[in-house]
Amino acid sequence: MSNKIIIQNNRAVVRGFVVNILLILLTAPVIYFFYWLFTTSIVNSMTGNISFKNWGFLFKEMNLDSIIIPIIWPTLWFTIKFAVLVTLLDTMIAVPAAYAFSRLNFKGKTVLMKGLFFFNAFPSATIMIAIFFLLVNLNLVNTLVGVVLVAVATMLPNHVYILKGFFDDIPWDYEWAALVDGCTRFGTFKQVVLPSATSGIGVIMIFAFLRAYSEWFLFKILIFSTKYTTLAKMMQMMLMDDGDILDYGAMTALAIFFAVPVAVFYMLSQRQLMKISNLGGKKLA
Amino acid sequence: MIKIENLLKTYVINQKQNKVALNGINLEIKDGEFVALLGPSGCGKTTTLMILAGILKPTSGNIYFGDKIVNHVEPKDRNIGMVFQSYALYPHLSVRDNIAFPLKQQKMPKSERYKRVEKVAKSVQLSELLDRKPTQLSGGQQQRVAMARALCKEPEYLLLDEPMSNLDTRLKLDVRDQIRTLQQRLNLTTIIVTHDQEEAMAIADRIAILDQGVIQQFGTPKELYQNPANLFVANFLGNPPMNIIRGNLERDGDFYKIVSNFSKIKVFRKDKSLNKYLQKKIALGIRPAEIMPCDTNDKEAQFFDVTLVEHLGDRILVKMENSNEGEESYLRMICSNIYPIRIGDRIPVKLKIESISLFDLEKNGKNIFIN
Amino acid sequence: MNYKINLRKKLYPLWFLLPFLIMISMFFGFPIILTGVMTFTDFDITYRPSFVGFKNYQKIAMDPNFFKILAITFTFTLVALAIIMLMSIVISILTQYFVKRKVARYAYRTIWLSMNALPSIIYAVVIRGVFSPYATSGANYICLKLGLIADPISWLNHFPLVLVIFTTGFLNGANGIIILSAAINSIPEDYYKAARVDGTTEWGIVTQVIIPLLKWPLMYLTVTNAISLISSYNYILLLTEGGPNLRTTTLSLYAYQNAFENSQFGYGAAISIFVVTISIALVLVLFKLFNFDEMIQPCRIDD
Repeated sequence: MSNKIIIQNNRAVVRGFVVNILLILLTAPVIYFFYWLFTTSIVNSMTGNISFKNWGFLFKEMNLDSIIIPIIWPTLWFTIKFAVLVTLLDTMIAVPAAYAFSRLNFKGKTVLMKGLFFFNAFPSATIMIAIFFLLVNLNLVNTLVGVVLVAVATMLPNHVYILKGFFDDIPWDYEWAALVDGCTRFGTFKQVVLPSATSGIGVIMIFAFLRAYSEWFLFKILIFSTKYTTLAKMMQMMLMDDGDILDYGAMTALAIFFAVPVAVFYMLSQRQLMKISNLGGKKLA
Repeated sequence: MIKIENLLKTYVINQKQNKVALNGINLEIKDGEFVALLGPSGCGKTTTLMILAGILKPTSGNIYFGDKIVNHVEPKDRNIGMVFQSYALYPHLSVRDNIAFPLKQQKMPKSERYKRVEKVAKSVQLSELLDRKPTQLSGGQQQRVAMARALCKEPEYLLLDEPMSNLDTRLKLDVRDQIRTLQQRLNLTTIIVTHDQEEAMAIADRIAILDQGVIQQFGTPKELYQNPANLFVANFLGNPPMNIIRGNLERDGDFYKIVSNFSKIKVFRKDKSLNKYLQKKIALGIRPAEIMPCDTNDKEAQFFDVTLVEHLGDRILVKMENSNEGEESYLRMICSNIYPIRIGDRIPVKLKIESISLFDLEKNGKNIFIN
Repeated sequence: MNYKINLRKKLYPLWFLLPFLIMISMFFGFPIILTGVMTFTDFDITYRPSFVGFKNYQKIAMDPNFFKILAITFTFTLVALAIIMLMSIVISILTQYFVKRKVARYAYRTIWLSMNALPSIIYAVVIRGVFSPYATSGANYICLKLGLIADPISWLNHFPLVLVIFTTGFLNGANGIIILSAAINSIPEDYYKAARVDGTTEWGIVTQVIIPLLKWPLMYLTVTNAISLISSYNYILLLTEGGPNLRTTTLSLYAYQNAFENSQFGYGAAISIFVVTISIALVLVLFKLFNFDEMIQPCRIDD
């Protein structure tokens, strides 16, 4: 009897050991990436000593061999401006649409919901060529408006889908009570449903902001002049520059500077994100 | 006065199927009356209430408030107050703003609003809680806030959707009394939906029992209890429930008996009106309190074997059967604990003749003695 | 007056939906159709297209690169998919089931969550840097120090496809880890207790209790990741630009390059139509898998 327990204990110890080894092996690359990122950014690429030369873009224009990095603040400002525009437009369109899908009755609702599901899963990258052609015809290529519209459009199905889930969770009797208490249908939306959905709306705004903040691809294909450059686009240009020698010191410094707001935001919204991972409420077990 | 005329409500379920929720409801509620809509889940009582509130609209039929047709009048224009099962207090507003919410929709100026709120809050002992948020309140407190919110705009009708089902038993009794007193003092026409028959019997002036979208009977608690219109009503009211014995009606000398596969029970009635039911499927209903032990020599005595005895304080609940084949037809009897009844005893009992109900099973359990 | 009210009520949802409907039809619905139409044109830099029938498709059939690219696309998709699914399953089970202490669990989850959080550009910089041909840091430095190689390797030139597949797989796997972790966390303890009482080994619990319960998230992840892998090329673009010599070019990337780098928009559209078709098919599979009607709640307020 006690032999069995000893064997079980041994097994547990071995198992714990194996599990931890596996995890360390699998997580090691991630940790190494971050380590490499931070150390490279504070190492002078020529001499190999620790220096903060790479972070010069915070204060002045940096002249590297193949590329000039302007002082970072105007670019940061533009990036934030772009992200805010996208967030506002996305929220203003997505919130009413999600409410309608969740709470209103209209002809063709089933078809439209299937469409919502379809476009939520459909990859927008495949139709970029047609989108480009569309913008050309609307005279919106090379304009900020064009990029904002496309950026918002690509996020909308996903955001409406997620927001609808949040609206679905609001009990119907809030609206019923509000109707009896003297509200019109719109009044219930404005005074009762919206305030109860603020956490969901906040999540969507964070998603939209971070997506727009990281956007470089749309700028690459839709913008030709250098008038509109975001941080991400700048980094992409550095990375794909034709010159052979890349200054990784400068790039990693830039990358860290770029990543800080993202990391902060994600830390703040951890709890909400866990809720969304629930696949729209589908029971798993 | 509220009048419901031939109310029909159907739903379309996705693949073009229709579900009939209400199948012809007719009801007339007098001013100042307290009516309960009672029935099992899915019977249509909440649907009826929602249509009265205006949240749902009738498929066909008419609803009158007074002498005005209000079928498509919006809830906000019906001058009603409503309390929901979950209270539906707005989570982002304080208690004060919750109660003031209806007044705010009426565009009452702020100071006047809050003055009214203070007044109402005092009458339900909520004055110290006005600044709290709903999540910081207990269940009973939330219920009072919901009532206050429903009443502060001084509505003409009060609708209650199972407002006490989330409270514990002791609190339920207190709240029940409070609602009753309030309703009588304000002379407010009130309709309550509940699945708890005890609650309905205690609180309402008249009860409408629903099943599958149809009103089975509408009357005072006493009428429903003593003269149930059909088997469903008889079964639904009363705790412990009415004894129901199903079988065929046959003659037994001068009298009748119900014969089923497992037992037979004598019906000591002499009137010949039962002749036309001979050989038909009949259910006999007798409430546990209407059976009593009697003398062995009593000419109405029937013998039963006791299988269970439960002590209920000053009374006992006896479970007994008169067949040795199985439990298909046992009777429950409640009587004083004076009688020395034990498990295994074979006792003589008699059924009070006036309290026997007979239900025609071929006509959906309709009570034979009621037109 | 009755008629007017009815009309107003019927149009009410429209106000909520209109901006969304306009955006979606303009930037999703219409472009999908437009892509199809464009495949029959010779749209190029002159912006003066004319219909050329099936010429683009013939060009594809005669394109010597096309079948190589097709093979690379499938290799890329299947291997990366395998990596993603394996990684998600292994790591989420390890961290959510086997790791008992809450602190450790939280730490691992944070690490993987932050990996998912950062923009792809940053990882592109890291991968390019770690696998750069220099010997001063990164993979070359480690391998030299460990004596695995004699000279620094130009990783991106010698192992481009491997690198690209692993990068895409590894970094997209983080998303799956989050979803599976949430799913595993929602499994009630009682299932494990019952299994253990029946004498199941830990490995048995993994294969007979956990994985069957993960059926839905796994199917969801497989299909959605397949859709994403078929059509996305951001890491390929940033790491190798499809090279060297088209060794890492997938269909979508090829379409992109023909359209935006060679200005052959019609031809690019023709290539991308393959990806569009496969994507549509995969989305329909997703539809089939998930009982859609559950999502639609009936409206409980009548007009």
